[in-house]
Amino acid sequence: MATTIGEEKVTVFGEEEAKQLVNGLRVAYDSGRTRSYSWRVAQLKNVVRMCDDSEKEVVEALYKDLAKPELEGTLYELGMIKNACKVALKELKNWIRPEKAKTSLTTFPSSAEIVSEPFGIVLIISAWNYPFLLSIDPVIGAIAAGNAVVLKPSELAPASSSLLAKLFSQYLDTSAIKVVEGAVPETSALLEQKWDKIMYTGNGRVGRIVMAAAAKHLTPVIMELGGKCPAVVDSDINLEVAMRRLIAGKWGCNNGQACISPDYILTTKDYAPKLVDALKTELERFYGKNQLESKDLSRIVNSNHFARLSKLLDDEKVSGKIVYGGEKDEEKLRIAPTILLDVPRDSLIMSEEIFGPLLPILMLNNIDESFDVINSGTKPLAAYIFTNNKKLKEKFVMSVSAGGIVVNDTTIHLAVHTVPFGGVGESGMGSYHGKFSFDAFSHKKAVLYRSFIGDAALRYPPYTGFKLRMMKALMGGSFLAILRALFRGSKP
Amino acid sequence: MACITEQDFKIAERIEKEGKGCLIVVNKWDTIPNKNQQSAVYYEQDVREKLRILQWAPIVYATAISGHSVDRVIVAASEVEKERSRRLSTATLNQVVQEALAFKSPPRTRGGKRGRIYYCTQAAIRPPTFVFFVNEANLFPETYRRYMEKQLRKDAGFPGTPIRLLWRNRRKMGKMDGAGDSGLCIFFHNIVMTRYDVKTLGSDLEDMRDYFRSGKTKDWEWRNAQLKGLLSFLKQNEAQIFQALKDDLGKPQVEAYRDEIGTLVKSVRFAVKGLKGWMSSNGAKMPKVALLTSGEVVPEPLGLVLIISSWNFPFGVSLEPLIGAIAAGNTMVLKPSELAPACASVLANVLPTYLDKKAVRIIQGGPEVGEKLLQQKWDKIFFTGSVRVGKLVMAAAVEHLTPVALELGGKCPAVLDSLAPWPMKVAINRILVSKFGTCGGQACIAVDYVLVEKRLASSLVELMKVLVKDMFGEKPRESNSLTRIISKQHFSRLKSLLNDPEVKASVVHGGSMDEEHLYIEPTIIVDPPLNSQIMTEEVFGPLLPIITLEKIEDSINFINARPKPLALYAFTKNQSFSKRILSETSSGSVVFNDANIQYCADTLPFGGVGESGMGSYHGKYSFDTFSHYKAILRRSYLTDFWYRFPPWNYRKLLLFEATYHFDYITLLLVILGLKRSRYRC
Repeated sequence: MATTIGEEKVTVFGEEEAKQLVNGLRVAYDSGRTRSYSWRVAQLKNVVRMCDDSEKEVVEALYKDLAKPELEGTLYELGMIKNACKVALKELKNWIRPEKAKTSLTTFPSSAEIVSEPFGIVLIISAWNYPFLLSIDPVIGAIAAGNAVVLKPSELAPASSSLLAKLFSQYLDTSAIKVVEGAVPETSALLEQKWDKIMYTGNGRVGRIVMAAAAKHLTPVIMELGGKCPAVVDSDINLEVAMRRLIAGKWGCNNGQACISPDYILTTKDYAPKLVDALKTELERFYGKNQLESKDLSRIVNSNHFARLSKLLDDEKVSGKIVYGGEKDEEKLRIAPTILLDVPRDSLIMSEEIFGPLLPILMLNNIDESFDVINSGTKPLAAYIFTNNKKLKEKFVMSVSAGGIVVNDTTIHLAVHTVPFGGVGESGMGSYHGKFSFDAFSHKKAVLYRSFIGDAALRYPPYTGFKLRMMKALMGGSFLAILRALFRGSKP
Repeated sequence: MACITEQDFKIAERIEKEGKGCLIVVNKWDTIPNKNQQSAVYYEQDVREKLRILQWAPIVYATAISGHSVDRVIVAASEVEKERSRRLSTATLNQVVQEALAFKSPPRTRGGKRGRIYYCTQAAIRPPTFVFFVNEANLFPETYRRYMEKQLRKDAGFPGTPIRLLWRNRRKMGKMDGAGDSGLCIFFHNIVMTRYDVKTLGSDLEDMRDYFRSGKTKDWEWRNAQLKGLLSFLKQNEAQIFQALKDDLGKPQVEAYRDEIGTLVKSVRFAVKGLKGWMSSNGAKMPKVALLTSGEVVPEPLGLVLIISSWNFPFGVSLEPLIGAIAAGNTMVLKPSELAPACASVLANVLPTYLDKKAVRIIQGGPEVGEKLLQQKWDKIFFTGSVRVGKLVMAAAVEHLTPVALELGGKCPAVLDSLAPWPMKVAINRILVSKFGTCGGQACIAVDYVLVEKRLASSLVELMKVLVKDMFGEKPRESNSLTRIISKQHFSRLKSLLNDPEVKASVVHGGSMDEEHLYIEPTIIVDPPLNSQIMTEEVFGPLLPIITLEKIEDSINFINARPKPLALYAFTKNQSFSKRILSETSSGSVVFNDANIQYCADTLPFGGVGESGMGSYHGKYSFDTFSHYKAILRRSYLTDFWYRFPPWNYRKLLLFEATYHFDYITLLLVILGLKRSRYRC
């Protein structure tokens, strides 16, 4: 197998291996083992155990890959995973239970239900920014729904990737749950195979490749992409609290390398200076004076991304707009929290997802202009607004289209398992978390039970005028009409 | 000059009356002295004068004795034959009629009443017969009828064949709910151009996007009004819909009502009733630590959506998703199938008069139009059709990362366990009506084949033969209860399925075909080879293979060895077998002891899995398919956990842990400093 944790067995994972892998999983799935409630529960419990036992290793791997602060690692990754598992374990019985559906006169007499059945074999391709959360969280959904799973962690977080491979083989049923490590060739080999569902977390470019591959086999896909998540800041709010929450969402989430991090701020011209001051104060309170060295901030994942972010800063349209931060350390791949004020909308930084510790602020004459700015772009994964104005709040909620919306806070919707998490338009399709994860990996099979009684001859040819009249009455569902049709008899 | 005898005239009259094609051959042309170019003109004038009744017949000049131009007679005759069986698309036809109307409107009677033409459609070929639906047929004098015929000929040709114009009272035909003339707003002058110019597509779609942005379609009032419009369309045009389905598919009225109009009326009503509830947001439960946070999930329309439908239920599979798209508040483009042109034309010409044209657009066309449409940016694509095209649709959706719902087909098995005589009869009836009595088996959920135990096969076949006869009589073709095959192409596909010698040898009932009228007799085949085409591809026609098994339980493996079907039907009274079928097989839906009926259940999701498609619809699921469920969290500024923010320390870590586990006691202890962190190194 391709788990390269072994000392010298560096197997090449090509198409042949991928085919074998899928065949093996097919056998495991067809045995029906993964469908049983006990298997699902056992695997989920193992995931919890895995998280508990390997906290230290996980934190280390995250530090190696991203210099992620320990608290961010244990909280946002392991904490959320354990939480998701617990929710699944608690609710699984209810989720699995067929949902009764009402039936109508048209199909009378009958009973109906909706049965959740696993898709079969699913592929999960995850991202590097939250290598554990974005890998294991979907796997939990796939297991809960009773699927066989292949996980392909991102090669950009190598330590995390190999740890995942190791842990999965130690704790989980390896005949039905597998990890394939690797980069483009391995992913391509996997995508050549026929899957029953594919979930991809990452960017739109690769998302398109994944979907194109899925189209060949008519495989449904879930895409968790990103987008430029706006944060609108109105005046007359508790600025201190607002900025704290903004910082927690921006730099406190993997130093801005998160798909739901606020990407830019929209505020009025008058309010902007006050906002910048407050941001500066809070930033210093959190990360001290020398923020480039702060242990509470992650580093940039690799030199490619570092170069990309540098380029955004070097754009001549914004180079003079930096009002805070801007320090870089190429060797250590660190960029300090940076605020750019009054950035033009046609600048490079405003045309792509930033995915890093840079925060541009756009100045508007009127806070209502923010709707135009947001709606003129592609639909973001999340949109945030800080305001006490009830009308503005409602307008924002109703007229801004985004995966999710948070009023007066950032990113916390990720942690709430009772709301679906997922994008719309360019920011993705399909959603997960909590029961939504279970649903994402389940096919909802409609089941209708009929008995042999209650058969109406009018369904069958030869067709007559009487049958037509009777049918109309039945479809209309009105007893009076049925009686009328009956009494008119079968005269033509 | 020309010797047109009394006899010739009599024959001409007879030709016209019988509706036969005609070609006038002028023989002995060599005997005309001093021929020049004018000769033929003069001669023709003379013939036309004397044989006015055959104005439309082409003339060929020939000399039989020398064989001169004789070959041209044959060519011209075959031309005539072609013209006689030509079908004019309803779209073109209506355009011609519209032009003719604009040029000369029907005369007014003394009472000031004026004839109105609502709509015209070609009802038959050989000879081409056109039906005009008008307010009152007697308001159209003979002169006007002749004028209309002349115009039709002028614009659409038909040389060599008589054409028939039938004038029917629309009121009588469509009197369903007492709607008077005022309720019928289908005047020709309102009809939108049906030949869609793809060049303007980009800007048209941009207009629709603008309209969506205006927020109009999000209002409950708007959605409700559109649904009501759809309902009026279905009620007021019942006759036209019946006619169009007859034209395209020869669909019997009861079938048309049962599977299309009736089901749609029911669905629209269900949507109207449920709309308010569907649109309201759902509150989401919040854990206690998220103090002063409220969460909800709000459905929002996706934007501009594309619906591509198919020809087998041209109204059903077009409007069922349309109901969902409207209910969800989208703007939308519908492309009906070009293989059912009469239905497509009713949808394109009549439906828009009932709906907000700025938000709903119906575009007719074939694959090239479909391709152009797929190149545009959509917020959702809903496709009903074949696996092959489904793959193309999904591949096209990749460019803009558009979510798709694909309603495909597959070989839907019917598992028939041994049953007592009476339930057996009911079961077979239900199978037969699904196979032969639903668009002639051209339905994605029709029973594709039957699985039965070997020992039951012969008695089953005997019973089937009897029941087929009960339904369709001795001559199914004449029963008026059988739908025909949609096109020549599909006909020859089905023919080739049957022409496999091994399959042919397994036919136990039926098998006759009427290629000219595209009818295939209900056909039963026992145990065709499993690798023959009829068992490897979706049959989609009135051919029913019966596969015999040693034990009925083997059917589970049989089904699992093939792609996942859209529907699985099991006729059994055995509870444990039912349970096994439910849990061990995978399909879009499962129906016990019946077939097809799940299509009418609003409370069940209708859709495939694997090869049979993705995404589901019907009832609220249609609404969901065209909605994005947006998560909304609202927070106040009052509560905040100081430990949410850096700089990080182990105490904060512990607090978080307690929070995540909703462990309020630990939370309190740590805050009070009574619990030590286990993280301290």
